[in-house]
Amino acid sequence: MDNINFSILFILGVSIFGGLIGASFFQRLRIPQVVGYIAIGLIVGESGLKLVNHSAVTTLRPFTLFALGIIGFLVGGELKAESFRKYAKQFFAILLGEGLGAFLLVGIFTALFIYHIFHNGPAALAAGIVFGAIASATDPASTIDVLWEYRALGVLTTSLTAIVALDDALAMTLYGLGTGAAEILTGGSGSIIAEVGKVALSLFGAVLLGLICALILRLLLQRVHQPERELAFAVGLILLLISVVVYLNIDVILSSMTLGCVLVNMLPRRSKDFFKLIRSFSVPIYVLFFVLAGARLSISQMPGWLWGIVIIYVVGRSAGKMLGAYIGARCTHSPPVVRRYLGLGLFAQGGVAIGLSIMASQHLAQIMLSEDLALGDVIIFAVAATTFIVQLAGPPMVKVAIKLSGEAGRNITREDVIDSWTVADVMETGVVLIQENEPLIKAAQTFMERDYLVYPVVDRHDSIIGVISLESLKDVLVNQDSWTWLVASDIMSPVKDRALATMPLKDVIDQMSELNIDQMPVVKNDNSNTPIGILDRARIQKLIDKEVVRRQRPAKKETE
Amino acid sequence: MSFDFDLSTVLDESRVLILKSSKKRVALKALIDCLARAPQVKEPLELAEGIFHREQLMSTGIGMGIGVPHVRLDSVESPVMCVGICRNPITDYESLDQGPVRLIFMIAAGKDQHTEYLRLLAYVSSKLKDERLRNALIDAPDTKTAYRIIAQKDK
Repeated sequence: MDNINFSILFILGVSIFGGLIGASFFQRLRIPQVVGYIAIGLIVGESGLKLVNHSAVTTLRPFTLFALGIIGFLVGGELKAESFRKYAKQFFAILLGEGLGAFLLVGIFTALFIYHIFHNGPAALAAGIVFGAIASATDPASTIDVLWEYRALGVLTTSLTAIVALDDALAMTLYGLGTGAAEILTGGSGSIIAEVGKVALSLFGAVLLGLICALILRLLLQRVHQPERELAFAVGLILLLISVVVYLNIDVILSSMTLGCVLVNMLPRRSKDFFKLIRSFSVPIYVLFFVLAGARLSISQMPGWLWGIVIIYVVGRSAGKMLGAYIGARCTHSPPVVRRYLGLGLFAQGGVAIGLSIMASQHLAQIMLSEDLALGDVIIFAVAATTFIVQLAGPPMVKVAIKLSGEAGRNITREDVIDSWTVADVMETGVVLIQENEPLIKAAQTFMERDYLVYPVVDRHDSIIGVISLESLKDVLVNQDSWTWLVASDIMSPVKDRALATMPLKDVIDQMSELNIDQMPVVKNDNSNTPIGILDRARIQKLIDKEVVRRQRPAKKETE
Repeated sequence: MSFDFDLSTVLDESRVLILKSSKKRVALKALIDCLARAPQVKEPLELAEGIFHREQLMSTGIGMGIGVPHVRLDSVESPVMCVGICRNPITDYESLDQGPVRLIFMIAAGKDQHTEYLRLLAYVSSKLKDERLRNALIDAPDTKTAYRIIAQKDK
């Protein structure tokens, strides 16, 4: 018992720790972190060191399901009704375009290839249909992870999010139709209507359960106001939802996505911080999920000719998705960035494809391509291998799409701007110095003649001793007689601290808050007291707001 | 803005002096010694330095025979004041109107008490615009009467 506990804990540790190390290595090469997680999975898993072997992956299946639930929930949280209303027609057309594009190209060419090798018409057709259906799915988890990592924002990002979230449902429908057709074609006992019915029931069940959980979570969020308890309630509810959908054999990701989607649209404001909380908690789960996904892949056991199917699948799927997305976007007059780059972002393939391939292996176990090779096994191997390839190539392509569209780095907050700036970026330079003995009437004149809101006050050695702001002038405004006999040092705020131009802005803002001051002078270096500029809290806020708007502004390409 | 001020918090009778010297430095020194005894003032030396440094920057003789030496210091707990009535006019005060000074209101406050400090300065300068009050103070026979005049008018 202790050995099992040890090995599971060891695997969890190796996966999360190693995954993060891998991610930081790949990030340094400017490759999305998710590739790093999967690469570490390959190294420690079936294809590499076998530290995480098949049975370990099976033991950890509940963690994978939990991760899928959290990922689905967060993806659902990205699906806001306003963007759906605005782009519903476009999303639908692109979804059909990319899904059917991949389905047709992969389906036709795989069928031809298998027919060419085995000369078995019905089996080739059945294989084509199932491979085509699986090819239409896109992995929302790794795609969304890249969008978050590179802080993407804009119409392409919204479209990508919606389409990767929705095309699992399309893939499952195509799969239901496909396997029904395949079983009939190969003389099995299946019926299209029965398969479609099963799929429809599964989709409906997933949505219904997600909806019920969303209503419960809404009720809880309205009553509980402690972030820690909110998090615990949400995690508990997601686990309950997953257990029920797994028991009923319906789609985990779709049900948790419904939960997230309904919640974000019912409580748009309230849920903003809540989703942030869940996202911050999700990092180790994400890492574990992708490392295990990589560990599961076993590339060494593949027969040589299978690589032919893998190549056809990868090329056909990529071409079909790009072409289909382009046609869908073009027909609905989508913005140029969507037309040009959306297809590039749809290559990732993950859990749904692997899940469908496992289901297909069970459904189509009786279809034999040759004496000792079942179609089901071919599908499992081929999908695992293609997942390996597209999961390594897909996330970097998402990055390329958002970089080319100019949407990377636009989902920024005030904190991001503050983190990226130093004092030099916001200080007032070229500020006139006010001498400490300058009569107030003259200092007031300076305010009237110039645009600055705050001035440093210096002694006769030009060393800073305080600052005068408009606020300090306000205190003597009603008693203008005193302006002739008060001097600058009488009304200045004494200097409590000073900043250097090279200091991180965040540290200085924190320091100003701690000292409860609105202005702080900036000096050249630690040994100098001569001001080279001044910081004013109101001006800093204004500049930050302006910068947030500037960085979020649509890139030129989007509106071309 | 009203210049109403609760004078009792900054001034008591013991800090009203009758001064005989006609020299600015001597008069200021006497007032500093008096103010330094107030419980609000923790560092007498710093008070003296601050008052004389401020006079170096610009004279605090604001005209009409009034001097308002003032300073903000870390070592002062709350605004505090003392009043000097000069029996002999101080001619070396370098007032704005070049006239001699007969009444000196010395004010000290804490470094962070910006608003209270300016309000006290405004209160004193606006109150002393009343010529009858000034004359009554100059002619006050003793400190008790002088304090009553300042306090009475305040009510």
